[in-house]
Amino acid sequence: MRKVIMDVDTGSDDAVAILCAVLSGQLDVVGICTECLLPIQVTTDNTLKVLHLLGSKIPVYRGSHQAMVQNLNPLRKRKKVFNQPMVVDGKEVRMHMPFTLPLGDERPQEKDAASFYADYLRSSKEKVTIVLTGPMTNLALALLMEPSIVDNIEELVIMGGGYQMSNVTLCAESNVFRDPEAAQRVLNCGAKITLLPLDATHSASLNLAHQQRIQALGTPFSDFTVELMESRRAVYDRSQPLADETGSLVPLHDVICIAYLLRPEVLTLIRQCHCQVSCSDGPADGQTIIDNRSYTAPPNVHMALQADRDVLADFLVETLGKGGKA
Amino acid sequence: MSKIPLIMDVDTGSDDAVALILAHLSGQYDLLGVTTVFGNAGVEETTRHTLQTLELLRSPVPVYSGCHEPLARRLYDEGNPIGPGENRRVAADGSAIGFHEVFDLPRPQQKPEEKNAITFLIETLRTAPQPVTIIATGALTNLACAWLLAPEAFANIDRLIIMGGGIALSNKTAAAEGNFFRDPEAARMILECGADLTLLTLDATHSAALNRADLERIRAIGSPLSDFTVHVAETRMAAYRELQPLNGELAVLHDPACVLFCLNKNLAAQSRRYRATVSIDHGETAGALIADPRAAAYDQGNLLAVTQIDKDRFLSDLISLLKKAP
Repeated sequence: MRKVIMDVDTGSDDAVAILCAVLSGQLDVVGICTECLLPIQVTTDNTLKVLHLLGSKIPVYRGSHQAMVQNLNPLRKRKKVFNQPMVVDGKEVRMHMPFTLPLGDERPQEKDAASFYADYLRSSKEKVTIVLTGPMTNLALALLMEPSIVDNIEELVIMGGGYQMSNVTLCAESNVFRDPEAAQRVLNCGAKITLLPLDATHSASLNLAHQQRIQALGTPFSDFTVELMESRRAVYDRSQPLADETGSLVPLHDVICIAYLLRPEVLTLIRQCHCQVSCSDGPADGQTIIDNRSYTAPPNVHMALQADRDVLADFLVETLGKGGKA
Repeated sequence: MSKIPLIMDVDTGSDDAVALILAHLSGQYDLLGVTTVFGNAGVEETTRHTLQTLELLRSPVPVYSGCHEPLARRLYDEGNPIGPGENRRVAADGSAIGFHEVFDLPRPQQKPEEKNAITFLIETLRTAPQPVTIIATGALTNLACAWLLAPEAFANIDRLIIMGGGIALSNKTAAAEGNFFRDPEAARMILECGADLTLLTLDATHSAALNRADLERIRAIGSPLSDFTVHVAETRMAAYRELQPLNGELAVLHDPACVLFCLNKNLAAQSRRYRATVSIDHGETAGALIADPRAAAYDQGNLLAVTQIDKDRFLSDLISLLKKAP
């Protein structure tokens, strides 16, 4: 079974990615590292809550409490506004919240996330796939601390960046924007990288019909997924409307990384390209820059530009249905 | 008197080696470990030099290898030259001139520990029964990584004594001292981390520069360690003459001042608190210490800057410690 480390900022779509990775039974998830989105304590607790719901004892390693260097520059820090609340029927709704699920007895490991990466990858007998669905601070720190660990990475599967799309600023996607230096270090580390930017994840946004198929499963996991999809829908509809002829749409970015590992056909267009990250105090901070020149530098990423939402929906229905009735 | 629990974070480095020697000979430190960082040379060389120095002392203290480059400054290109080329020049007669030469000592028998420097720093701070003093005489990259990953562990730092920055002096550039210049972001992060900080500035270390007569007094001790110290000082004296002329035939040994000051604060002839940070810009002031001279900032200073050393005490402390060696 493929050995996997997940690196998450749980985070609503991260939660669904964790659910699917564990419920699939086809990935050996050896550890989960946490990143900031909400404060690190909250994303760590959210991760533990999802694992408690699953009855899983996968160890959780708390990660860095802020970006590598971005917050040191007041001009860059000021632009970091995330997860703004929307008012729906008089109630505040956010895309990412502290989950109301119970926490259980498990706590994060003593060891920090970057030390876990270094220790695990240094001594692992087989190569490890790492799925990164938040800012990439922990892995970037580990690569700075111990660059030789890259030799034990099978593949990096990353949700982040955008080619012709952005979300948190006019140039940048949230995960990359929250630690551009970390992204730049990770994207240039030399490992095989499959990058899932917004172009791919938005193309596999789910509609209400997809959601109803998940809802019909009636497991604790499908129920929780639907609850998360609903708060995402409320925020997307009001802040970044995505709709097509089938109605309002919700992207579940992070889960596509897991779908890709188990159903590679979910990605329908992949381009090899040379990708660098802008790190600056100007408007392009955190932008993923794709080199389109014909004399381009050697490719460093396999960038997915399109995904199939029906394959994704089938994967979710099959995987979330493994949980048993509530 | 109980010994001071100590970690030294070094880029050995000629003057780092003398600092290690003095810390060992003083008998007043419980040296828990030495962590290494890039700087005066690449991290492999600074690690080897550190092992060689400890073996010269027959010290069993473990060495942990740390970061090979700064947090962010080398993400796009080679950036500022670091490593063996730095500070070295070939003289007209073909001989090498530099502040830090490759040590002419036996190859080390020991290896660095498997665990990396950051993991060691975090674990030690978390578990040490009494607060630990840290003396940092290189770029602050290791400490910055540790702070990002485990800020709460920094509560167990007793004092953090840093060789870095200059108030009226600089060396690496017109504005910056070498340790801060090599990783300005790390320096800013650590100066603002809230620990009990003392800076031994260039102003301080230059005020204790050794002259020929001083070196003869050290040479007269006639031990392998005093010979080594004189050799280091003479190498530096030649380098200053060629690369950074001082007011006379002088050699500055920066890093030992941290070790001596920690044992006796009367080593400082002049010091004051400053509200201080480090410039992280990319122009002429990169890495410069910005110590706010305004009176309003005086009381709320975040560090104590030593700006002048009692040179006679420095020399007599240095000599009396070296005399302790067989």
